[in-house]
Amino acid sequence: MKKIQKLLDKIGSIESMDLALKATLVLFLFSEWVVGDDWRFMAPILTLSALGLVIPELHKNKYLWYVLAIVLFLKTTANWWTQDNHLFVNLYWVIAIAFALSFKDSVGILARNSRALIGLVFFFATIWKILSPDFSSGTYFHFTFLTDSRFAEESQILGDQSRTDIAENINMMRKVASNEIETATLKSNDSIRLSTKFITWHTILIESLLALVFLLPSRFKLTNYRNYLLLLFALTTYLTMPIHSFAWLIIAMGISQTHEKEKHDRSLFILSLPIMLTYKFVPFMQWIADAF
Amino acid sequence: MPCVLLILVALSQIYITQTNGLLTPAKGGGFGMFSTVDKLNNRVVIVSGVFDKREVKIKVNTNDPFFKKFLEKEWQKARAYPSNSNLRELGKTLGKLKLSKTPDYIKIQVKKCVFDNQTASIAYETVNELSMPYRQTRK
Repeated sequence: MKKIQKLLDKIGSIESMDLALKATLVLFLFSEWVVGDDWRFMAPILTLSALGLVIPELHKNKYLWYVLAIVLFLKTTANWWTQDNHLFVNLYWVIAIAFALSFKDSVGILARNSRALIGLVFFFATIWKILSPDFSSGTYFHFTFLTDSRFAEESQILGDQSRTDIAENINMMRKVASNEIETATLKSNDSIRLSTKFITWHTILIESLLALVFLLPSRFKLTNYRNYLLLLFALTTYLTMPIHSFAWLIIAMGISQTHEKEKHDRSLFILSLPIMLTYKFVPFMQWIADAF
Repeated sequence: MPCVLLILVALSQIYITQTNGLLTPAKGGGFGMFSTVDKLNNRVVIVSGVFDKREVKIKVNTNDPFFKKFLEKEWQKARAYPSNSNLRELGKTLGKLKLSKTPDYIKIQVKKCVFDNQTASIAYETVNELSMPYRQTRK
């Protein structure tokens, strides 16, 4: 037990900003989702990320991050209406890094910006969930579990919905979309209705709590739980949600906002980075589904 | 500064979606991606050619390398945000299609999937549509 504690202390002693910056460059170097397939943006993002990781101390150079910010800004404006919302967060994060590195108290500035960005992302995600009748009625998750093959294992575990059922539902959607038929009823059942209702309320609860603990000033006691809540969210949500690059980014941002007094929390964040990678490559959900 | 940018982008996205109802809540930087059935993948673009008042559906192969190279960008933009100007831009780009017979007009429709939570039934309803004279730009 003492050895584990020692190891956690050692991991937690790694400088938060140093690690967050390197983790961001690693993400940019290896994530196709971030880089995209347009060579005009791909070439500078990959080159700058590789140089930032290879040349000592370059990852702390503000000019590297300003150039990256310009490239990501141009990429965002070129794909404004079609790119994922998470890619907007990449841009804000890189601007925050460049901005923080321009000041003496870069660690403190980055920590404050990171905290605010995480809080705002969850705040607007919650606002949309409240605004959208599809979400509060449970429609969104119900429909997703019936038609999105990326959630086939979850549908099987929670709603006894087979891959064949999902394939048939997708086929029905195709028929309606192509006007072969006007309307269709998808294969569903009571247990999927009930479980998706539970997931709906669990999501809105955890996301609104995350917004609250990350946006509240640190004098509020509730904010003491922000790191654990973010870890809980990342470890449970990204096990099922296929957005691992964003999971990596949110953990990197989480690391950067840990205080010197929170070395234990920082070590847990650092250890969760490889877990996010295993989520991408190890079929945990498939194993659980097979056991059912 | 990045936080101000995030707030401005997210608020303008909410404003656009709530006022004209054309932009999918899942795009545009407002973080509505996991809140609605009306996502990009659940929208379809239907292109028809009008020949002497007769409407014929034009099949656009979205897996074709030609589509990827010349049409995909405008197509996806119109699918996510089918404003009249985005549909017009797509209409102009569709002039690059090689058609056996040139239509007088081209009609572009963007439809979204609607799901009834009680009955688990689906239907597609029109988000926006536009007809414009067809000008072939590819010989």
